[in-house]
Amino acid sequence: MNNHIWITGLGVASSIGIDVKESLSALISGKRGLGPVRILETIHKDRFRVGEIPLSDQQMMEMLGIPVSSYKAYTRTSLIGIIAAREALQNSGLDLGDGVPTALVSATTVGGMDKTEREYSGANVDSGFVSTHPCGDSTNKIADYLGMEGYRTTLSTACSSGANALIHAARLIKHGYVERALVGGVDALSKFTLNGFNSLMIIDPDECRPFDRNRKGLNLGEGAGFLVLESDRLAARDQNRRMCRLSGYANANDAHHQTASSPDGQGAYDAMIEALTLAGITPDEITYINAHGTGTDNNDASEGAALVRVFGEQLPPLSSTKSFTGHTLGAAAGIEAVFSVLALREGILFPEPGFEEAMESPSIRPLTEVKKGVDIRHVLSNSFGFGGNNSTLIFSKA
Amino acid sequence: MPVFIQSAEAISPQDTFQPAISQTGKLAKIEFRPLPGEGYHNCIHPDYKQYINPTALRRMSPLIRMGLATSKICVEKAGIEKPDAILVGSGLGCVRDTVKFLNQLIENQETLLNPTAFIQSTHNTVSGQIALMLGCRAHNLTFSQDSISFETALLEGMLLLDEDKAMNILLGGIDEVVEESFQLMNKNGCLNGPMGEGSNFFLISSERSAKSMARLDGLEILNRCKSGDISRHTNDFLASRGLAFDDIDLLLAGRNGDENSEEIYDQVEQLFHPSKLAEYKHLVGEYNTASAFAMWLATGIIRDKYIPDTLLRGRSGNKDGAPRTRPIRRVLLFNQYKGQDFSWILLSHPDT
Repeated sequence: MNNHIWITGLGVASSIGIDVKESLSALISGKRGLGPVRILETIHKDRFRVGEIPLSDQQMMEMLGIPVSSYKAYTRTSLIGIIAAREALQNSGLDLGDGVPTALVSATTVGGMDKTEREYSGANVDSGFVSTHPCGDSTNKIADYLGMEGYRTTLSTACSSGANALIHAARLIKHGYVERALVGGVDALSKFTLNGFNSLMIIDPDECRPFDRNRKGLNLGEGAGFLVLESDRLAARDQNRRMCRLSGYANANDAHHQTASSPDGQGAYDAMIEALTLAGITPDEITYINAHGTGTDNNDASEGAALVRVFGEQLPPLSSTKSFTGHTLGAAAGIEAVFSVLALREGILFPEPGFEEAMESPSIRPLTEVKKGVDIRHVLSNSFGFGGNNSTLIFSKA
Repeated sequence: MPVFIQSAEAISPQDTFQPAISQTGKLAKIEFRPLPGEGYHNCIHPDYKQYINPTALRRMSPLIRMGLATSKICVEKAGIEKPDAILVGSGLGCVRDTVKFLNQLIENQETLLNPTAFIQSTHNTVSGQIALMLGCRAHNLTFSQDSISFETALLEGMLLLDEDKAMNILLGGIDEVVEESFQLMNKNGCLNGPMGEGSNFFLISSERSAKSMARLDGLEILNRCKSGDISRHTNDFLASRGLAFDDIDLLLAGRNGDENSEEIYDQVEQLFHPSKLAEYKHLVGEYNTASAFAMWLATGIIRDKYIPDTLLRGRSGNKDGAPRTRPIRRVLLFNQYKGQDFSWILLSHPDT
């Protein structure tokens, strides 16, 4: 079995930037990507702050060199996915034509819903969304655009989907089923999810404040985050391409409630402990935590409780980058995996600009200022979702 | 690491879910009736109150009910309290709740929406509800990749067993069809034969026991494959396991009436003796995870050494001198959808 999983490429697109460089600069300067709805057609345009990518579908197609005449075949989800997946491949510098099979493992929660909800008006419609609706469609579009013919699949486990894509891909490499994988997650903003979370009354109309005493909920966002994972053997060919390792990963279920997290964060605790065990490190070796931190009452209290159980009252430096991008659902863990690797590579702890006052219990103080020049050894990233899904990823320096 | 199938349960458009009768010999007691060749076909549902807490039951769509009932009985029959992992494949997920919330969105113009349908529309609702029902905090994933959704969940399961991450895994394929999804697919030319649905669950284990019904000896997934290469891949799949075509006692193919796919199935079937050719989609219709129903059938066929007549291609099995009851050591499942998402699954008798 392959013991090490190496990361050799990153690609990201969200409301704070449509590539790694732009995103990193926003994270450092504290420039948040949350604002009123501009592109999505909804009656809630000015009511909520969202993390929307400021490009129309047509602009994305032009950027990607996809003829606008074929717009019927592309959902916004697939376009955003292609942007980030293409960057990760280019960033890695790997040659898809070198004869080594490459898997594509993606993740999404609502797939092609953005197109479905624009065109659906009941059962009596003749429309292309029928073929672009399934979760597998954006994965197929990414594979076709990049010319990937190997194994592909899509994880759909609500807001932890992207983390579980990394976990499945890591397992494929560990067993030698493939030697490398392009892996991540993608979701586009949709009326379906905006109204869904609104009906649950967990959307903050203003900018979200994860772990803040006065937090009112989440902001929805859209985006994609992709990474290239490689086996020891492949990554050893050119050690300069090795960015860091995916050293720990675990998925556990809270088995508490369909949507709510347990008060003591049992599933989150299980996932973090198992990932730490796999990485072979103790909690005090974690330099930075990229929290799930949605800004909802329930998540932040539950995640906070789990963090204190794992790390004690003195937590390592922590922030939720959802305060920049909003909650991008199936893309969140992919995007945050990219941010975690960036933190580790650049020696930068990302802040959480909106945070003001700690919650009563547990008292958690995310970083509010960026910190540079930090020797970051291990980064832990959490992602939790409906259905009790709790996933933890750990990224480690070589 | 060998993989054994310890239990298998199906809720389908046939009367397949009969937990009360004994497992062995069950297949012969089920009266299979081919479905009318068009339209869509929902499952024959049991009385779910026997399996699911009645308060929770009221809010659940049929898909969630099917998933819970089949997995509950699977776990019980295998004698397991909590599996070490729960893995689900679903091509379209919770279609009924998705359509329900979409219709609400349109009718109420984005106001006054009830969150229940939204909550239950998430693809991993069934795997999450199973975890809740069993109080199972283990590894829990849902895969959704068109007609290969069940197979990629199965692959994850085989790898987990291989690395000793798990000993007992609850694994299933689920999909549902509703009036709206049928009409839309029909109108957009996505259908060739009857459309169906089902919940097919298995308890797979790395340890053989008296309960072991079959052994899973191989899985091959090809999302894309040149049509001329199918017979070579079939040959390679068997040859890499030291097997020849004659070693396969039954080929269960996913023919669904799609004329454009006939040639692909012909390529595979011509490799085997005509008496060994069988199909199943005339019983359950086409859906993304129909191959999980084929795996349920194959498990029963191996356990009971019995092939329901209706499966045999052209129903001419007996005329060809192939008796309905015969020792079945190995069953090969082959499926694809419109020239994409190819899968080969090999099941053997545990003594083989």
